[in-house]
Amino acid sequence: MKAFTRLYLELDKTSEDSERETALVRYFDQAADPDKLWVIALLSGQRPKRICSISLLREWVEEAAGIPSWLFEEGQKVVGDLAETIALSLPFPVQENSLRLSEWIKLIQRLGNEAETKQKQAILEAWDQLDPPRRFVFNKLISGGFRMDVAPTILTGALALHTGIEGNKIAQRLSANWSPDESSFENLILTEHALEDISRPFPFSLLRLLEGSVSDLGDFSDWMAGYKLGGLRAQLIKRDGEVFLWSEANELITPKFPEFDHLKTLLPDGIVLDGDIIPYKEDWPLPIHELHARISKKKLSRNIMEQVPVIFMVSDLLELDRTDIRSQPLAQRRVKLEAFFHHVSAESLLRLYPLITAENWIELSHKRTNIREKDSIGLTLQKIDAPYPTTDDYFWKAPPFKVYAVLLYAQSSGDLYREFTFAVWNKEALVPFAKANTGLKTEELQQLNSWIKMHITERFGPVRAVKPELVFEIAFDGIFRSKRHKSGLTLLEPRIVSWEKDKDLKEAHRLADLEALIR
Amino acid sequence: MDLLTFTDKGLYCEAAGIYIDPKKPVDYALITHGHADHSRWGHKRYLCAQLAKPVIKHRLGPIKIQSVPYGERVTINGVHFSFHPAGHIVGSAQIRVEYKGEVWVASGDYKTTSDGISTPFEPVKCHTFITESTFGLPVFKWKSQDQVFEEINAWWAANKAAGKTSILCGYSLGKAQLLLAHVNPEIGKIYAHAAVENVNKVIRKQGIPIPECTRITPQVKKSELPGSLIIAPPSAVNSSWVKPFGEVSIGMASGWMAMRNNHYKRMADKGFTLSDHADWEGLNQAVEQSEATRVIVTHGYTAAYSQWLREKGYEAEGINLH
Repeated sequence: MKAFTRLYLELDKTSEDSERETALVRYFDQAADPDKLWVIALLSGQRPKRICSISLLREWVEEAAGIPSWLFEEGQKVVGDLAETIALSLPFPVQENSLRLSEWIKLIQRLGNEAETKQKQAILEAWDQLDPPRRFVFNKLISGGFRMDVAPTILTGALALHTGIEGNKIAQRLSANWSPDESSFENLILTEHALEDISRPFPFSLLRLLEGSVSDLGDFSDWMAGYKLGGLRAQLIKRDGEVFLWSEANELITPKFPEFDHLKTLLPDGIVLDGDIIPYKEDWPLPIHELHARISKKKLSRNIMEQVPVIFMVSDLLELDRTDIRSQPLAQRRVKLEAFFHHVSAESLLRLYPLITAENWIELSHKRTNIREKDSIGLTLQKIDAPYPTTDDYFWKAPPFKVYAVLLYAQSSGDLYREFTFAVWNKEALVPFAKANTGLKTEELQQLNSWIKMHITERFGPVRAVKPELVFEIAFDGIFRSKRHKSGLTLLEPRIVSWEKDKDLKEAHRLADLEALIR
Repeated sequence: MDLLTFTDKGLYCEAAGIYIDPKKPVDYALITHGHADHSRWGHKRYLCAQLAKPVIKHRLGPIKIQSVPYGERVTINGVHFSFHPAGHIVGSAQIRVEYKGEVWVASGDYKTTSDGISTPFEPVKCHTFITESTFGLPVFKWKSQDQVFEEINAWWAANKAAGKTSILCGYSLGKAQLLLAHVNPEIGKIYAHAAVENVNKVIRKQGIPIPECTRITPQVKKSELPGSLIIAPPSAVNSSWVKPFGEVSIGMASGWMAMRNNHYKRMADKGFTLSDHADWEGLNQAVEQSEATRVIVTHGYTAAYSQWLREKGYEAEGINLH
């Protein structure tokens, strides 16, 4: 369990994807198969049942350490975590124990069926054989409090590096219903899965953010422009009677969207579609954060499915009649995609992204200005003769919304105030509506910092309220209603455009102006 | 009237007219050790243990200071004072105060285990024992120093193998020398931050074997750093000082590292639980060995630790000096 404890502490310490992956690979490379299997289980949320309550553990630790209850609590105030406080309050172990993770878990599972006195004896014995870090992990395991959420893509990536097996095969193998008690590493990870060949997605063509001028892309007639809604990029696959959904991060997300099961009967076999999963209700796209909220739910309830229904907006066709057509030029694929839509009737689940017609870049630019009226967050630009994937795939954001707002709060990170809260008028009051930390030049940031230091009116922890005096222009890419925010609004990617030194406080926008921007 | 009382200037002995580790300028100060919260500038006269004097002079500059060897008695206005090893850092002392048959010991900061460079803690019998409680909770227990240095040396060697520079942080007086004395110089070259090397020089002059190390200066080539170890004060980690060193791993040596979540651990890549203060067991051992019946608890978890002592039958009180 030493190696596992080390892994746990390493994962606990960082949220950096690459560091977590490295730690996992290092663990897998040296661990025995039964232990690897349990690590996969624990990191994907399958944990051993709690065998006794943490308050019972507390009673036992106070007895074993010879300390009164209040003193244990003093320690907990400093340490925070109860399992860790227990681990640290006990005397150092006098014996050694070299049981491996999977052996410990077997022992813990057996203990689950024992009487309390037996449990106590076994747990006291374990505490006396483990050093504090291992004890801490052990306490988490026995109290049902083990939690270590690692993104499925990181776990898949680490297993791919460890085994040399393709990531999407691993993802497919992990997506099956399995239990560490009944499976083995060999069966789960190393054995070919019935479905994995048919589920395999194609590498995604990456949509790059268009930053330069659109005319730099060359001749307008070489390009195809399409609308783009705010959603989750995915490939939808129908092969051999099964439907699979893959996210761009190589995560098999089919179980998150049971709606698409219907496509099993509605679509022919041998189809791969590229597109976006869009939260969509009553013919209206929902804010993207509602989709994120739905995805992050561990258990998908009927309620959330009704609150956040989804559709799949199709942008490209990659496989048709079991034939990979990615080498065909985009224009040809588009013709086939439109023909395909003539034969399919699955309107409640599947829709085709319309194209934007224009004569030249100027007309297209003009259409982009009003693109939000079509619910779009921007448009896609793709070269008509390009195969899939291609580097000639662009996302041209809709022009941002812009408003004038008043600086209300500043929060420091490191040596400078870098995060700012802005407000607009609601009658005679200023209502905070946006937080932004980017957009100012270094010079301006320093100038603003000196101003803030002289105009602090109140302190709340790391936050400083400042005298409402300065006006800034704020840009954002989307605006939605939100019950959780004081202003009743939430913004997508708010950022500072400029410090409006000539503008007066009264020239800032009003809450009603913002509300008018919501569709 | 107590032999020692707590005043706004610090711990005061009225019978002798002296203060111990005073916080504000006084006429006569007895100093337990050179750390800045004990040894302050501005007193008219200083008295300390012989081994503590060079560092105190180095830090405070031209002051009027006398020193005595450990155990030697100094009588001031009929009160007998003597300094006894506290094991905290080089030269650190507990101060024994005896007047008309009553004995008090002000222990300053101390640790009961031997660290190999500071004179080991010696229990001093007394009626009233003034103890610190920096780590005065049962959750603070130190593993052996040898074990910790095994971890530190393994970390350094692994960083070296990965082509990284190791930066190991500890306070420039005390912890830094303890680290230097026990890291394995066979692993690679050792550098020190200027603040650390300045103290090293003073301590080496006293004949205490602190291994030679190279001072980090702008002239040190970046290309020679990978694989080496740099000893630096914790304040350096948060600054632009580490930026030029390329790929680094930052280690932090402190008692607080025993806990998973603490401020320094977030800054560091690796934490080592190494303290120059007594842990829970050490405090209890020191109190017991002093044979005192009355204990005054300062610095740290004063309320909890004094309550614990009262429940064990001591006459104990907690006093917050800050």
